[in-house]
Amino acid sequence: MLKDILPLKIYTALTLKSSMMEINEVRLRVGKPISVLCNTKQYFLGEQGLCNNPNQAIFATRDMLTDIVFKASDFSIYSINEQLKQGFITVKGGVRIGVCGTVVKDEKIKTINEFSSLCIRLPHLIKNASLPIFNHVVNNGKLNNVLIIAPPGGGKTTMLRDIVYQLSYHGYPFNIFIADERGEITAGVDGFNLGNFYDSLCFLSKSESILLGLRGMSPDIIVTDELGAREDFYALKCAINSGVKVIATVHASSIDELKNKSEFAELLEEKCFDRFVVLSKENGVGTIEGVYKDNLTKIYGGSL
Amino acid sequence: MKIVMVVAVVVLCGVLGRGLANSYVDRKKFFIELRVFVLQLKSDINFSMKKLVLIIDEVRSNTSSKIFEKLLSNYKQKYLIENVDANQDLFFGVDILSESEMAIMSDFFMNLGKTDVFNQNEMINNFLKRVEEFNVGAKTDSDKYCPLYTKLGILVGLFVALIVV
Repeated sequence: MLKDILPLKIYTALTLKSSMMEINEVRLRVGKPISVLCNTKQYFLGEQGLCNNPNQAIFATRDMLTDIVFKASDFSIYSINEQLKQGFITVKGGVRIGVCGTVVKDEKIKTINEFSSLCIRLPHLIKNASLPIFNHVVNNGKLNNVLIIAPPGGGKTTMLRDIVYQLSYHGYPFNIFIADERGEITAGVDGFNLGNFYDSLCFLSKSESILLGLRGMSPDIIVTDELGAREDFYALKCAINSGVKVIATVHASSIDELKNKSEFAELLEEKCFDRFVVLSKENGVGTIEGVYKDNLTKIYGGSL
Repeated sequence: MKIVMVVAVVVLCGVLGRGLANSYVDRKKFFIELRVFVLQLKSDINFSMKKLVLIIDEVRSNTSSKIFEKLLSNYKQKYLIENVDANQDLFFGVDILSESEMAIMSDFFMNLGKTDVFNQNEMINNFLKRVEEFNVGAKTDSDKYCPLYTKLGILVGLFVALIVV
């Protein structure tokens, strides 16, 4: 997919010395050298592949950025306006492109144009990534409400994806509903194969999606990514109070950071989640820092 | 026999005259279809937000102008599939347009899909004004030159018949 949206020069340079499986993200900033996050290390992208010297790097231009968004939108930027307004676009294969530029506002955001930065994030399906914590998700057939906590780029979505896959792979016939607001978890209709028991609703806000899934799909588990808005928590509580299990993720680096998020206070107090899984990039993306119980005591990983 | 020959020569020259005016008819058809395309674009971009390729395919399958169909086909192939940035490819096989018409159309097609819905709308509205002008010009030319060329053909036919017979 990346081949279809990147200029040939950049795509060729990217694949010269590295494999797409190693690349996590590509960042393009107008007038700046293109940078690549590869195996959690930051590099510049030169014509001969990844390099450490910014002077050897290819510099991004505004035309380059416009061209990438143009191709990513199937040559119809107007058609992705709703996504652009939220600051990102998701393209085939689950590739997410974060967009910065000039915001056109008229009470509400109308659109973003004159793109100045793009952050292209490549999704990875890493089989068995969730195995070390899988018995905390489901134990002797009993499902837990799980919250995965990690900083941006910490492997939350990859972990979530593998949990869905493993549930099916291990023969648990739970109906899983994925509220995939950005189309990242499943990578759309022709995206990842995450087993036989999942339904996904893409490009709808998490809160609406969860309530819709709850009503329409009678799921056993609801899976969603990057909780943040107040409405998300309301929808989540509705799901939990309906006897549906929830596996979700949130941006934070530690349990302490999570505690500081006021919107989580109620969920923590009511012990809505049975397990908290903290990930970091310490020893590579998806390093499991620890698993915590509902009372926030550590039960797995690091020093107990 | 002579009468048959006279009639044949006159009809033949009349048809030839009409044939010479074909480019005016093609231009008229072309600009009518272009206008339909632009209106369709405007509606699809504003309401259904359909992708450009789908709009083009739809218009291509319904257009009655082979030359306009050729233009859309060039645009789709060169810009949306091969993604080549070569201006002249757009008008390959489209030889009824003037330099200035080509320049305006090229500018429009090169920017199609490249901006947000608001800028696209503005661009389409501006282009639509030019298309209306092209349409009026092409219709006037067609209405003026088609009968003229046909009449001239018949006159030439009569003249030839007079000399030969």
